[in-house]
Amino acid sequence: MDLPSSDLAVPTYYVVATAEASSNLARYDGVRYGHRSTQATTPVEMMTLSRSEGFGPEVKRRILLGTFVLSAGYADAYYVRALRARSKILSEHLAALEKVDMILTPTVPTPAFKAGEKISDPLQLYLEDIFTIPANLAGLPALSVPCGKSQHLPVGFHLVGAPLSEKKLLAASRVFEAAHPYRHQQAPL
Amino acid sequence: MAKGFDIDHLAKLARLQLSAEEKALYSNQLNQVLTYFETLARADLPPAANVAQVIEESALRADIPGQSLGAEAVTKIAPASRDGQISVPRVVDDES
Amino acid sequence: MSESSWEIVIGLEVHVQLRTRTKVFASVPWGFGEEPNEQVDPVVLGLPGTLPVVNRAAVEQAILFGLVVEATIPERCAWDRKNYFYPDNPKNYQLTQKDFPVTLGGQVEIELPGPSRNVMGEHKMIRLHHAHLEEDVGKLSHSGSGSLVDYNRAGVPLLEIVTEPDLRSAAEAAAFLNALVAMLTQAGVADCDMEKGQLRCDANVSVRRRGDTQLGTRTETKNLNSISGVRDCIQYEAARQIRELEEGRKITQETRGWNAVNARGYVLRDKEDAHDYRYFPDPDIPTLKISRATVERLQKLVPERPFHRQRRYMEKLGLPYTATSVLIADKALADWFEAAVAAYPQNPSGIANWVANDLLRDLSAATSAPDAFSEPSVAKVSLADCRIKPVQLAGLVKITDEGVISKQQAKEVFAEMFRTGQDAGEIVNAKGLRQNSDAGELEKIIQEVIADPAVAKSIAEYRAGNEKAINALKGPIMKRTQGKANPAMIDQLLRKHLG
Repeated sequence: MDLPSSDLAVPTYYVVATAEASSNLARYDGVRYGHRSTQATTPVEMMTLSRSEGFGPEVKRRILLGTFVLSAGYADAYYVRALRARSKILSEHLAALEKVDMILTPTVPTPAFKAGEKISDPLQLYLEDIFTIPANLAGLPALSVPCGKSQHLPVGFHLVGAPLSEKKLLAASRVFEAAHPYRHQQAPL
Repeated sequence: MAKGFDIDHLAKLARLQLSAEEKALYSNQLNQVLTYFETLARADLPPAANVAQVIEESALRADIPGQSLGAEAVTKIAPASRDGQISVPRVVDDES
Repeated sequence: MSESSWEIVIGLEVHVQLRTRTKVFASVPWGFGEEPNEQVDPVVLGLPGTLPVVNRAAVEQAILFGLVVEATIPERCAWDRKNYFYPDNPKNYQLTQKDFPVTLGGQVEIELPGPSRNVMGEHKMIRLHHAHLEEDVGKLSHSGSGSLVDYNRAGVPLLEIVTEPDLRSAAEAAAFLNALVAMLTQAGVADCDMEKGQLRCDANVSVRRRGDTQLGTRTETKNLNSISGVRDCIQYEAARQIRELEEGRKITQETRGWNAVNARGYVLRDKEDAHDYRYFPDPDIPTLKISRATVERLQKLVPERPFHRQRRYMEKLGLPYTATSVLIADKALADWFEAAVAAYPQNPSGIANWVANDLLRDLSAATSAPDAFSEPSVAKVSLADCRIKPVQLAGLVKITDEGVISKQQAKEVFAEMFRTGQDAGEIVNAKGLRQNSDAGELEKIIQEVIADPAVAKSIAEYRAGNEKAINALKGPIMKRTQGKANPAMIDQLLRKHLG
């Protein structure tokens, strides 16, 4: 089984996801509902201040990134290429799933990091998603199953199946969980 | 792959007001992320994206009227309203 | 200004609200004249978590339009997001179709004004580039330091019809819009009531020296909301561009507005300020596959194209141009006319005459409110309320042709028929209007009149070869029959008696 485009998954996902987010979140402008800044005298100012006051740093960062990858002169290099990469990732997964029933990986590459630890390093934050992103991009069913501890923290594995193979994925995880009941374990707080 | 974003232009397009510190921070982070995205530029990709999802006409909605929220509900959640309408600072012709 | 050495090149983008009950991506109903914000739901308002679901009727109206203008209906169509912030745009993106529109190509036949109202003008085909299905935005109104937003119009299905740059004058643009409106309304795709904002237009205008093959720099004037506005704006803008070029300046590619009150255009924004709409495929609406079965079903609903109908009336029915141009402007009127012709196929011209003149005149007198779409060639007629049925008019024309009543009497019968909806025969009997066609009685009167020495001179002249002299005898005959005599029969019998 071979998934040569795995290294494209994270950049592809973050181009597509931030592009969509920048547009999806445009409705939070203080006009119809939600927070409206009291400082504004024009509609542009009202929208700008309401959004700047209301959104947190990660949301602003994603909106800026998504706005950039869709902007004139850059959309072809980023957004359109990401859609093409997404097609490639899908076809590679479909080919692989012809040969195997499901694909097993860790759910995340490292045990849970501390709250707020990676917020200033978006790249490291985004790379945490490297194993779960391909299924999301390809529109394939996937699930995560608790499977023990690493460095005293609970970890899980991730199963990806062919389209409409949810039943098979659930059956496999049920068999595993019956033999290895990790689901009640908790992290030390 | 061309990076060369203009943080002021992006902020204006996205309707965000950024402080000098925020501009420096986001510029730095965007540069870092976009450098990583360069794997996309080098990748050998299919010439066009496949249409992943196609629906048939049976998935369309019949033209049968449903419920309206009504002006009262609209103005109740609006930050400011008058006479059943949402009020905003005065819009001048094509200000966008 | 030497306008004749310049060629004006125009392309139009026409936005038409489609005739549906509910909005294009939401099931809330829409209509004109409701109180503000009474026609919105969570989807229209762009509340968090709401998703669009495409209205089948809107898609089918768009396809039907495509078939009416002989466009290609691609196998697939898809929606894109056009991103821009504006208070009337609830999601701050508009769902539209950029790369995969619902129709491609097509054409609209137009007629340019002829040398007079009675003479057919030149015909020309205007090619369409495509038409795409999108959502309308809300409405802003301004008061003092603030503006108010009403989202009733937001999400109304809008078909944007884009022409090729085939139009060459303001008159051609007006003729195009008239022809387009006729096709849209006759197919039931849209009502095109411009006073209700159901048809709005952007005009792309450029000029070039006659003979040049390159297009000049164009400007786009947005949001013209009447045909006369389109005509005036194009005249103004073309004259402005010619003046600029003749005085050695350049045309700036810009977006302009039009002030209909003082009939002047103005700059909205230049190319540097052009929007960056960041179009991308809408992830919420999957690509839609259009089945060929749907296209075939809708093809059956395509009505006869107005100019096709006109040619058929002129060539097959022998109608004069003037009557046909009145009839084809209104499908209901033309259908009414054809129903009458079906009942009495012997005299289509006679029937057309009644319909285009008397019926229309009486109907418009009876219809108090003038039509909002006030182009003179498109008379608004409320045939639904008309008491006369096509078969009854056919009956009236028939008994007139048969000489049962005179043409003068027919007018009287028509007026009564319009008022009461009675058959011609009933009215004729009730009023005792039956024209006297009893040859025996008439012959007796003719013999008496001929014997009168007062007409001897006329008889002599007639016999001497003066054809017109016979008319002097007809008056006294008509008088003695109290106007009920059939003029044709009088003529025939007179000639017989005078040898």
